[in-house]
Amino acid sequence: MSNDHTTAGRSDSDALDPDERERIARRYRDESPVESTENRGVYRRIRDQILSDKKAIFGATMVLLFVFTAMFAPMIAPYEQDETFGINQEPNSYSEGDYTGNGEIDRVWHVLGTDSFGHDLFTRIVFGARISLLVALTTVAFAFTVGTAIGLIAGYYGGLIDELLMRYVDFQWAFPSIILAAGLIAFLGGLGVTNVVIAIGVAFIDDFARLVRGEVLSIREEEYVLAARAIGTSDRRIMTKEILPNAVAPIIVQMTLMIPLAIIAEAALSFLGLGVKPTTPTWGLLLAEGRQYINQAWWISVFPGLAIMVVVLAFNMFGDSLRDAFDVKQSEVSEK
Amino acid sequence: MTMLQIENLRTEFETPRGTVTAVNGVDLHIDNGEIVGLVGESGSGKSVLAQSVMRLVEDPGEITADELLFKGEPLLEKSEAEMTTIRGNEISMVFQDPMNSLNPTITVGEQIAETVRLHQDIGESISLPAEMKRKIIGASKASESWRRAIEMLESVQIPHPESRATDYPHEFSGGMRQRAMIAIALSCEPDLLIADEPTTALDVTIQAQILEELHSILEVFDTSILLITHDLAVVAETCDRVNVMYAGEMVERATTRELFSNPQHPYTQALLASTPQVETAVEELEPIPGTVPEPIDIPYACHFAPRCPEAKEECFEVDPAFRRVGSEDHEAACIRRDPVDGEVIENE
Repeated sequence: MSNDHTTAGRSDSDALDPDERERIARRYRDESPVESTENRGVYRRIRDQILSDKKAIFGATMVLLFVFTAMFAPMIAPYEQDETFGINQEPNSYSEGDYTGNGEIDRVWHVLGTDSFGHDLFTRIVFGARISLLVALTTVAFAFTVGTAIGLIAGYYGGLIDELLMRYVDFQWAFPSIILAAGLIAFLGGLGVTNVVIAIGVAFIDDFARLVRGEVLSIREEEYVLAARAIGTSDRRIMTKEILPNAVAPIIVQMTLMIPLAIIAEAALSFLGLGVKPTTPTWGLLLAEGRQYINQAWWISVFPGLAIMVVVLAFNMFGDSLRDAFDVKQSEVSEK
Repeated sequence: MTMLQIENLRTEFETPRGTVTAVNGVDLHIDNGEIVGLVGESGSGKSVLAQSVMRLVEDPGEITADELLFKGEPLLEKSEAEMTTIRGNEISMVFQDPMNSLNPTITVGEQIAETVRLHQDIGESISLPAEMKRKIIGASKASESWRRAIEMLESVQIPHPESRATDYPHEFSGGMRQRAMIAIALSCEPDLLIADEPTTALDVTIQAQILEELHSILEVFDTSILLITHDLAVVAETCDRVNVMYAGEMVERATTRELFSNPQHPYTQALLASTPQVETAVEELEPIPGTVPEPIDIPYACHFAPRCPEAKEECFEVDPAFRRVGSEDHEAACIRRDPVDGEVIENE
């Protein structure tokens, strides 16, 4: 009886004949989209991750603001970068005098006050963002290029080459980077943005080299690297096309974490008087100049210091959330 | 004509614990348009043998051979640069794990197209800047290499090849990835395809499809295939001839039919006894006792002797030479087998 019952449900009248079945199946096949959308957007995942995290939003906003400020500094700054007004003016005060040279007395507002030369502090900080960004980006780009090359070659070839390159990196690792940078500037001779970039860039090579080498060591054991060799791919090609693209996520994160360090290093070098030329507006120089007047005019060193702090913090938060976004395992756990 | 001729191939790895002889004096030959099976347990040196043929063994691996001839040319005398032009172009390889053998950052189509560009002179630059440009603005869909990539995907029966070619490997299923791997391996129409356990990571239905694929390749591309597996069923279904390997040495070789109907070497017999058979009802399968010895300075002559039910004292002493044990080319390396017509093939 039970047999009859089960077959009754699929009686012949319900069943499709083969042609009909094939026709319907084909309709469904043609309609269903072929491209799978699963996992299609790494970018979308990163975007979602950043948007879901308040610290990340703050970080990203501040970073954008910083970049924007640096790009449009002449338009944002109220005055020219080397215009001078009354010296050591308090925040939210006014200088009076004929600054436009038309014979009339102008009344000029200083939102953050002026420094010991009479420069408007807000103007100097806005222009200082340019130097900070320029130095930070070029430094990290330099360290990334050299460090990645060293890490790739050392990790891929191993053996004696690895030994030599990594011992050099270890040596540099053991050496305080700011002293190394100071020494390099003394060696290169003279102040200037280029020398600062080279000095800090060299001091940061070891971080990238170690990171990349570690990644390469694990990726080169992947079967697709062996597969690439099996189709006749040369060593150089394997390094650039197979290994490097698969190591890019941690490298990007490392870059966002190195940028604030570069900003601090540049400020520190300027503070020590080893950075850019004294007339250039940079945050480190402002800080150093303000030190002498810290009792009479606290604002000269406090505001550049705050600028450094906010930007560094913003980059760190942004970098942290990027790292979370790239870390597939972690994001999968949090989605569940 | 002989496609691949291997005589006395040894691959050794110098390690702190001693010299590991992963492949120990192996002879093998593959004729034109033949599917040859290579069977053995895990750790018997099958994959190392395959990689030795392509000279993919990495440091500290050391390959020596009396003869390693591919189409009559000695592979061991080639420079590394010459080898890169042979790999992928004349000898190709398909790997065991389709999940890991495709680069996750490059689209499947591009991976095939790249192989074509590398080996075939179709006037598309493979310089680094040209590749960067392709990566950023995407490969030209009108290019010869891309057209070829789609053709290849079609020939391994991937549905909708035009749109599938722009997918990344993670958007493919396991079976499709293995097909894509085969497409890459065949894109330059190699003369020899080495398939290193191509179906191990796949379920049986997909396995059957892939094996069918290999068969049709043979017909369409006229490619000789060396099929490495530990699965006797796969061998029985696909291969013309079979070589059985144990602990770095060949122990028996015969045509497939002969080997399955009349296994001679105790190891082959044990291997067959440990595999379930549909026709004969067996209460319990007989596993081979013990494990494959570590290939570091094995002190006894026949490597299988300690696990062999028929072992005598002389098995540990005397090197087992190959001897003819059945019809045609059936040879086994066991001194306990009486040679047919007294024919013993000397191993030097």
